[in-house]
Order: sequence, then structure tokens, then C-alpha cells
Amino acid sequence: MSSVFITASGVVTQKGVGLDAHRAWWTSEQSVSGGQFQMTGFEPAPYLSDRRLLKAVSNADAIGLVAIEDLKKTFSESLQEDFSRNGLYVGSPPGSAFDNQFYFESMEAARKDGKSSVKEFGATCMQSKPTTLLIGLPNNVLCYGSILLNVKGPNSNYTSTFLSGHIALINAAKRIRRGQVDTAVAGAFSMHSEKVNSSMFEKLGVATLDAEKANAGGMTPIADGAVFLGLTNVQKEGQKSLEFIDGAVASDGAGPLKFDRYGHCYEKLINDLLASNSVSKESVGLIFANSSGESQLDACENTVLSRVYANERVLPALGCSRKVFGNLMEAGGLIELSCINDLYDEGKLPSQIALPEYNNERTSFTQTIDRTRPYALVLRASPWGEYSAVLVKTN
Amino acid sequence: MKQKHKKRRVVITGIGAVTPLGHSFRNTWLGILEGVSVAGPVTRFDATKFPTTIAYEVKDFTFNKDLILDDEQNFVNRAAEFGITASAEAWEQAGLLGNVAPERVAVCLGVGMCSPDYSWYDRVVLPENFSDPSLKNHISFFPDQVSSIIGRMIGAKGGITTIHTACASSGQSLGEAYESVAYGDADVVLTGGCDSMIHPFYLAGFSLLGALSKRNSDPRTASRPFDSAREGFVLGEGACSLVFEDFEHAKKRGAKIIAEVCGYGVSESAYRITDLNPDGSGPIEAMQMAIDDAGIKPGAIGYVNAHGTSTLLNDRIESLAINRVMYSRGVGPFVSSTKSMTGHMISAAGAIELAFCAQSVADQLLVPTINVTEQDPECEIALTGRHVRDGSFTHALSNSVGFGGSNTAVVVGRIDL
Repeated sequence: MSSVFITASGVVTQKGVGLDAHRAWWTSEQSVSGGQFQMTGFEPAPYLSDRRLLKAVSNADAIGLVAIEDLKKTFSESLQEDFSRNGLYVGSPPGSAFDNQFYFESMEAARKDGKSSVKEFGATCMQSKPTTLLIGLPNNVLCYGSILLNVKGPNSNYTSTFLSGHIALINAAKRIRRGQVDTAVAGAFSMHSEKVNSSMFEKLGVATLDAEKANAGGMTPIADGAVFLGLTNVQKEGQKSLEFIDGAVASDGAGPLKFDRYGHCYEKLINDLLASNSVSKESVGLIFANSSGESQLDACENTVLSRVYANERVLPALGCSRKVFGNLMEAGGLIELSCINDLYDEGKLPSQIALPEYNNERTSFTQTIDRTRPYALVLRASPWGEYSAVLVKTN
Repeated sequence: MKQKHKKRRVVITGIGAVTPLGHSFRNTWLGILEGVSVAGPVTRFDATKFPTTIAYEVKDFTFNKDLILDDEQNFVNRAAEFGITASAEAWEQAGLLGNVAPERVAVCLGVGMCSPDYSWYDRVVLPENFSDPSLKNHISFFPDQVSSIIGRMIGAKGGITTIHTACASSGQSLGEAYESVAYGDADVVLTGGCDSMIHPFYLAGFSLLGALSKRNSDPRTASRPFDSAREGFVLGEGACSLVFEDFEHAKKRGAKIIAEVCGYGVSESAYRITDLNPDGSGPIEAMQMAIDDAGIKPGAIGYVNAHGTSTLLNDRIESLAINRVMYSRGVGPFVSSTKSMTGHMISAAGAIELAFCAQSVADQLLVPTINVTEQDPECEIALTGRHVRDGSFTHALSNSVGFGGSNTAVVVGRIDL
């Protein structure tokens, strides 16, 4: 079984483009104050080597492609000459006509007496761009990303909302472990800041654009962004990397917008992942909780982690990315993997990353990272009762 | 030589479908054996001013609301209704209720770009309507909602995955489900796909790309894969679900096994979003990988259910690829495209076509391609003909090719206990 190393990151969030633009957010104390995590008005063209790629993509796709370009700077040398030995695994938001002005221009042109006629739309839409359909295809980033990287091996595109990025990463890593590919790029992108999706999430009581409103209402703050990771089966000498040990997913099987408040499956997922890899709880030095801000889901996660660590003498450091980056939705659970080595170097979590809210009379997680405990867990949970966990080891 | 991991054998123990040919897999299969086309004018909306006015619609379908919970109704769209119905049929046939540990059951579905009705868009895109409470029902068009409901129906606690790679979506979901069972991540995966793109936006979008047949005056012969006079595909809709199960698990409980899933291949063309590389390299790579994964020689494949969309380029390049991989001195497997009878079910296409492969292998039948009056000489493959015929073969392969460059191939084999 091959080892898997995460050796490169491409990151785009409201904080900037590239890992260096983000590093200060986890290596030093920073003041975090409400606001929004959207990337409205982001101009992707300066970051792309081939601006023609922007001809038929949505704003969300553009963010994803910028992250892949960012990754390419440090990862292209790792890609195999035999392009079929490179994989690309993407988590994407669902295809949305709301990000496609051409449909709406045609609808407007077909409007008579205040109502748009579907029959007339049949004629007006033929004046639109030939590529209209392609804007908003969920797998655009997979397609153009493969062209950017010249990757021709196994691939997939997941539209599993909150878990998409983790599923992409886990499946890419499995392919390397099985020897089916030597390298892979895995990641996800997200942009739910247009009015219809964001209004929908808010009406469902799940997520909202405004961080303060999210905090007050027990919802998760919607963030735009993209994170892609470079994975290889070889750790170059002297190169700093993170070893991907394993990852797993589980579900409550409860249906949409329902989850087991007690968190049986979530707890089992974490325990099984550690046990199946012979990793003791003591050797985990850092956990990134999901802690998305959804009050009931967070309460569930809090009790799960309390139970998992109920009998442990020394607890790991516990953090979350939400206060700094918001909930990156499909792309969530990945930026954490980009900062784990830095955090181990620092030896502690800055207060904007720490999660003291989960401490109680029985369990008290720390802010200090014990470097002798090299394993880190990154968790992801969804109010749809779906969970994922990624286990990595620092070097 | 890369080290290969030991895999478990994977078998199909349930199939369900809702297609233009029928509201169950059995009825669909009977339609395939009859070799009928049910394409006709679009009736779901007024399409008379679109360049293409025809489609393969699922007609007279009434969703059994007993399959879902009352509070799930706002999470269901037309494609989801097809998917839930097909999954219920497949799950019942597999007879797994109470016979498998829930944490060893997963769901992996390919789900399409489903959109709300045109009139809904017309209403909600007005800024004053963003406060409309019905806006929350837009969640039904998130593709993972149907996966979540199906996960609840079958009590899956082993994870729920939703995939979208356009026309390769369900081919890809089948492959990932197969690997999940083969490598021991799950004992049972309910897989497949559902889609409904017979919608003004998508009829318009595909028309703008020049991908659809305009043979509006003769809809039943419009989908004519590999025919010299083909000029585009015809939209279909529907769903197909399959239950993939660990062979030992199925054997132990005495399940009726339909066929074995033997191999999966997947590649990315990295060429153009709508076109295959003319050298056929993407599908070639996927087919070779699937055949290698199955541990067989290309000559063992007796039947190929081609992606066969009936577009000029796809059929020509796919034929070239099939020829390169599986033909030797002009001799190779029989090929058909069942899209001539179902239309292009987009994200559900790969699933229904693998189901046809599985049933073909089980029944030793070669299913037809209808509407071929003169085979394109540039499609150098042996078509099965316009009528079903007996065959004698151990393995069949199903191809899928998606916008965006994803190519998949799945090999199924006759079950040899």
C-alpha cells in the first residue's frame, strides 16, 4: 500500500490568493470581527495563465480555477510524465442557472405583460451565446483544471454539498494508496453568495451571508472560496509535507436536514478511523472540529468529542476555521490541512482558531499543540446527518 | 508494474428503473427487446419555437408519495421522483432489508443538473421575490437531496456520495460504488443515477451547442446512433438504480445474483469541454483500464453498450476507440446504442446502460440499435442489428463519455458461482 503525502496547496478565499496571503491567520494572533466572507467582485483574470478559460464558466468556477493555478506553481513538477497516472478529484457546488446571465437575458427578452413566455424563450434564447449551457456545469473546474494541469487519469466531481471537498480528497488518496495513480490533485470550490441560494439557505435556517447574523441565529456563515491540495506517493527529502493516513465518511441515514442529535454515527466514525489505523487517541495532537456555527449541530459535535475523549488523560488542541474563514461549504475541511504543519511549528493555536467553546466540566481541550503527538484529525459534519473525518500525520 | 490490491468480487443483486420505455426495469427491458422508440413532441412545456421540439419523455408517471416522508416532499424534484422509485425497486429486488449492517451500506449516485420550472425562475429572479417563503424549496434542486432521501429509505449509514460529471455521472457513480465494495469500504452500495433535462434552459442550451437532432417531423427515428444520417442526440429522462454487493455477502444470504461487476476504468480527456479528442485517447484509456481491472483480455468482451449518442463526432470517435481496444483484424464484440430507444438520459445514461449489459449477459441476448438504415462507414464496429438476437458471451462493457472530458467504462460478467 502506497503512502500518500499532501505536498502543496492552492488557496483562494476572501482573505486573498495563495497560502502566503493566509498564513498570518493561523501563525499569529489576529482580530476577527464579524463581516462577510464573500468574494463578490473578485477579478480572476490576473491569476490565470489562459484567460480564455473564463469564456464559459461561472464566478464559482473561476475561483476554483484560480486555486488550481495557485497549486500548479508548487505542484506541477510533481505531476507524472505519464499523464494517466495523475488524478483530479473535485468537489463542486451544484450547477446553477442563477449564475448564468444569458438565460435570464433570454427570459427578459421573452417577457410580455410582465410574464416571461416559455414559448417565446424558445426563440429568444437562440440569440444567446453558443456556450450558454456550459456556464454553471458542475464539472467545469474538473474539465478546465485537467487541461491546466494536463491531467488525464482517474477523476471525479462530487456535488455532496458540505462534504464534497473531503470526499474528493479521500477518494483521491485512496487511488494513490491502491497504486492506481501516483499523484492527484484534490479539492473543492464554493460560491453560494448569489441571492437565491443564500436566501434559500437562510430560510432553511442553515446558513447566511452575514457572520454576525449567523452567530446570533445559530447558523453557519456562508463563505466563498476554493482549496486544492497536491497529493503524491513520494515524500521528497527535506520537503515539508503532511502524510495522509486515512479518511472516512458516514451518514445517519435520517434524510434531508435531519441528524442524530446524539451523534452515534459521528462518534463511531472518529473511533473507527483511529482504531482501524492503530492510532491511539493520545497520539492525536490537534483536532479541527467542524464547528460550523449551526447551534444544534455544534452541540452534537461537542458531545461527540466529549465522549470520544471522556477517558483520556491528556487532550489534544482543538480548533476550527469558521471564525476566520467562514464556512467554505463544499470547500470546507481543506484549508485546515494547509495549515497543520505551520501550527505544529508554532506549537499553539492562535485564539481566532482555538475553540474553547467546546470545553466543559468533563473535557478541556487545549490551545497548545504537543509536537510529540503527531496525528491530526479534521472533521466535517452536515446538518443532513453526513460526516467525514481525515486523519493526517505531521513530519 | 504497480502493485495491485486484492479485491473482493462484486455482484449486482437488484436493478430498478424509470425510463421513457417503462416505469420499472422489467418494462424497460421488454421495450428494449421489442426495439421500440417512444420519442415524440415535448409535452412538458411549449417547445414549438425551439429548434428541437422532440424528446423521450417519461409519460404517465405518478410518483408514489408513500416512498417518502411528509417532510421530505419539498426536497424532491422530478428527477428525484424517478431516482427514488427506481431505488425502491432495486432495493426490494435485492431483498436486503434487515439482511445487512447499516454501517456497511452506502449510497453513490450520479445526479443531473436539475432545475425548477421555468415559471418558478420567472417569479423568483425578481428581487422583490427573494423574501418568498417558497424559495427554501429550491433545495430540492440540489443533487444530493435525492441521495439523502434514498439513504434514509434504505438506512444507509456508510456514507452518501453524489457525483456530477455530466453524461458520465452515473458511469462514474457505478465505478466508485464498485470500488467501494471491491476494496472493502462497504458491503452494499446502492448506485445509479437520475436526471431530467427536458427543460427550457437545457433544450435551449443543447440546441445552442448544436448537439440535438432537429428531426422534429419524425421523432421516433431521430436518435440513430452510428447511422450515416445521424445529426444529434435526443434528450431522454429517467433513472436507474443498481444494488452492488460483495459476492460472499450475497452468496451467504442466498441472494439472486444478476451479474458480476468485474472492472472499472476512468480517464479524463483534458481536451475540450464538449468534444472528444479525435484520436479517441480518453475512451481508449478508460476501456483498457476497465478490461485490465477485470483481469480479462479484450477478446473476452462479447458485447459493448456504447455511449452512442447519435452525434456526428461522438459515434465516430467512440467507434474508433472501441475498434482500437477490442477489435483485431476487423473482428470484435457486437456493439449497440440503446439511446436509440431510451434517448439520452444524461446523468442516468451510464446506469441504465450498465443494467442492459448485466441483463444481456444474464440472458445471453444482444440488444439492438434501432434506426440504423445505413451504417456510417467511418464507424467500423459490428452493430447488433435492429432486432434482439441470441449471443454467447461472458463479458459486456458499458461506455460513458461526459461533457467535461470524463470517460468511464464498466465491465460486467456472467456470474460463475
